[in-house]
Amino acid sequence: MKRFICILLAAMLLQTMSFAQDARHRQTITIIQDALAQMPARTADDFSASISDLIKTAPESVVVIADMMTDPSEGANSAMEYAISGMVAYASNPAHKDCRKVVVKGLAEAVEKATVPYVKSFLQSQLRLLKPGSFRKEHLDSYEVRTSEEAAQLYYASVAAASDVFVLSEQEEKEGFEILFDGTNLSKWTGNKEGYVVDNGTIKVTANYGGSENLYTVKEYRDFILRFEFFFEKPGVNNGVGIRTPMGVDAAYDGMCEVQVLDHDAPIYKGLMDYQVHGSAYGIIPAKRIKHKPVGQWSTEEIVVKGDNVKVTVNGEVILDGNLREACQGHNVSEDGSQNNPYTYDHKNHPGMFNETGHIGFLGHGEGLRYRYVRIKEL
Amino acid sequence: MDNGRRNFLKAGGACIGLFTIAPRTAFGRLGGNNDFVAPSDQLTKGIIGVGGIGKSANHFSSDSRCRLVSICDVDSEHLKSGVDLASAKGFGKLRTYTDWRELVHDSNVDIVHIATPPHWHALMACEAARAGKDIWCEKPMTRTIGEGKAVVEAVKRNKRIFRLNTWFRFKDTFYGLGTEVAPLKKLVDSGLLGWPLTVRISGSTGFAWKFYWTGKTDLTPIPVPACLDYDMWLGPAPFKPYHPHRTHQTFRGYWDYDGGGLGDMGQHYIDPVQYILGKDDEFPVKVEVDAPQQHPDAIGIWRSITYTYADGCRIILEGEGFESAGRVPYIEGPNGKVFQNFESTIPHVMDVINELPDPAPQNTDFIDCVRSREKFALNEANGHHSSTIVNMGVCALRLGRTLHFNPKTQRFIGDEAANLLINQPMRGDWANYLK
Repeated sequence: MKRFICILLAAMLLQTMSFAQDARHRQTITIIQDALAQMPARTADDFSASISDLIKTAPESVVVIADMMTDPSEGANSAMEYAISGMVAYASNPAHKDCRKVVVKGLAEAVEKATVPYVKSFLQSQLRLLKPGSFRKEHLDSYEVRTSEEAAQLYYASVAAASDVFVLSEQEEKEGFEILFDGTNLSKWTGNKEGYVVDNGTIKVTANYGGSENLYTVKEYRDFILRFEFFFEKPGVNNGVGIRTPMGVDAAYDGMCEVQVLDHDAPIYKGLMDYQVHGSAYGIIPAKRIKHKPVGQWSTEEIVVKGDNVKVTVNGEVILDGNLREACQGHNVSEDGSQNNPYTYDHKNHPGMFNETGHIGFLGHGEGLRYRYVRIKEL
Repeated sequence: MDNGRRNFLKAGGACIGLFTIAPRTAFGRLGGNNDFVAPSDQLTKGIIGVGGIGKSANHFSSDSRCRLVSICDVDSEHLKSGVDLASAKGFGKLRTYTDWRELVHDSNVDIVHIATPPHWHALMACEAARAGKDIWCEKPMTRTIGEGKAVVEAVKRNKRIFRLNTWFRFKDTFYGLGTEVAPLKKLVDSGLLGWPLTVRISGSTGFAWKFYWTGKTDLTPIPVPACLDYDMWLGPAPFKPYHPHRTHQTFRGYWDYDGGGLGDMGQHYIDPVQYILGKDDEFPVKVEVDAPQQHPDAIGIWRSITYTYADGCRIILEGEGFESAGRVPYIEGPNGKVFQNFESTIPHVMDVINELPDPAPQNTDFIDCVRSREKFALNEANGHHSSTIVNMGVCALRLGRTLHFNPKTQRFIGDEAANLLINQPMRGDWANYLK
């Protein structure tokens, strides 16, 4: 069945490439179809026979076969992996030196075209065996210690899920916590339900920056303990938790504050200010800079708001515990009405800092984030 | 810990116990080999990797000669089971680590036991050597030939004592062969079988190649369990989406971490052959494989692997289900054959062997070697040679062709792709540990 689908895909692909009319390319399809059906070869002779056929139609056959590869979550790559690694092994044989060039050409083109990170890594590591100079570790997703943007994106999304409905622990039940998101619905939330969707037990975020782009609690809160878990699907993710904020404004300034959510370990944030690191009361009090768990693992977070105090704990470590009023010596806005406020950390005005109540908001800055297990206890 | 004693051991002194004032009998108790061991002479060890073999007797032991003081694992459940096991055995409190570098640099640890999957062995051994520790390392010694060379260098440069966790060249019945290795060594050394010799490691001669160590293709990613630091489990290995079959009890099925059945049993079966043939300083010059096409990630089965030395000696491995039929010799030479259970074409072979001189004595007590600074019987040097035989086979399997090896340069001849398997890229900065 899988082979049939592969053949179908290959056929469709060649059609969209708009040269399926050409008899030669129809022949390529047949050759690929035959070869894939024979993977893996049982003996060295069988191997030579099927692979040399594929080589005859390289570089095109390489590109077509690579194009057939999909995200590993579909579990349908093995025939293509045998075929491509087989062609590379064949072409790398000193006895077949003349085949090398066409396989390299096909692989290089396939690497360029590849969009699935797993596939791109596979193709690049195969290309290395024929053309070691092409191997650039920094471009090879699977060789980065922190998986790069592309490598994590597609398949992490599919594995981030929590499959069960969230229920409170006995302890939290006793303490009077209330679930805000149980994995199934956003009934306690309002706002941008396009950019914040329920997906496999998580809130999947794709929303961008902007007042109308946020998700807010229906209720307003004064003092509380908020707990949740967050998950970076890829490096560089940026979001925030708005505290005591009206809806539709920039909570960092017109709310009490924004508690920053940021993958600050990503290389693109090399020049980050300290008040921008994850957990900071953005622009008001910098948080202690933690080392995030690798992309693709859930982290726990707790935000406690009491009066003017904000305390943030991530994975059990307290990274912020401060009093916003004291931090700016009571001057949340500049005395002279200008845009420059010498008292606040970022020297901006924070008119909403002393709000007594307000909504809690998830403040989007692009995709790649998930939340789950959101619950709150009012103090 | 007493710094004076520690520096002393490193300098290779042979006199122990000079610094106690009271009579020795007032302090210690009888230890390991019935040698009196004063408590200040007790060595300590830490184990990296306690998920499987790390909890077996060769690693997870503690006595008056060497006390287990710490363990490390990237899986918190493994760490917990290690702590529980230590407590059940009455070992006393263990220090636990999740980052192996902390264990290696723990001043309280004298000997580092490396019981992780093979893709970590070389990095940990090199770092441990640099940190002034002696090393007891699982087999296969390293995953690649290049890593093996680095370990030999690091151990030599830092003057460390290193041993592998295989031992058949000096003790125990040699699997299904039905005999220990010593009499075979004597017979081969006597020249009665002639030269060159062919050794057949096969189900027919008493050796099972464990083909259940095959990998799976098309694994679909699943979430990493909370107890596992997958990033640290992978270490230098390329990132591939998590699936439990890649890790813990089944990592042997993936080229990224090990070498399948060949990797698992290779050094156990092949190292004694290297010893018997007297080739601890040599490498085969050719390796041929007969196998189905291999997958680039998941290890498959093979039918046979044949190694040939420059002088014509051969080692033939026969895969499970592909053994030669009938009664085949274990060792065959122009003048004689030896079969399982020491049946032989040589008349009265056991009487003949009893008359022969014993093989050269070997250092078979690791703790003694740590104290005396003499090389252990199976060390980084001869271990690298037998590990390289395993890894040559891995390279030939992955490329599906015959490879020729230059024993002087330790590189393949005329095959660039094969040479690209000798030193393979490492993730992140891990390659820095291979110096």
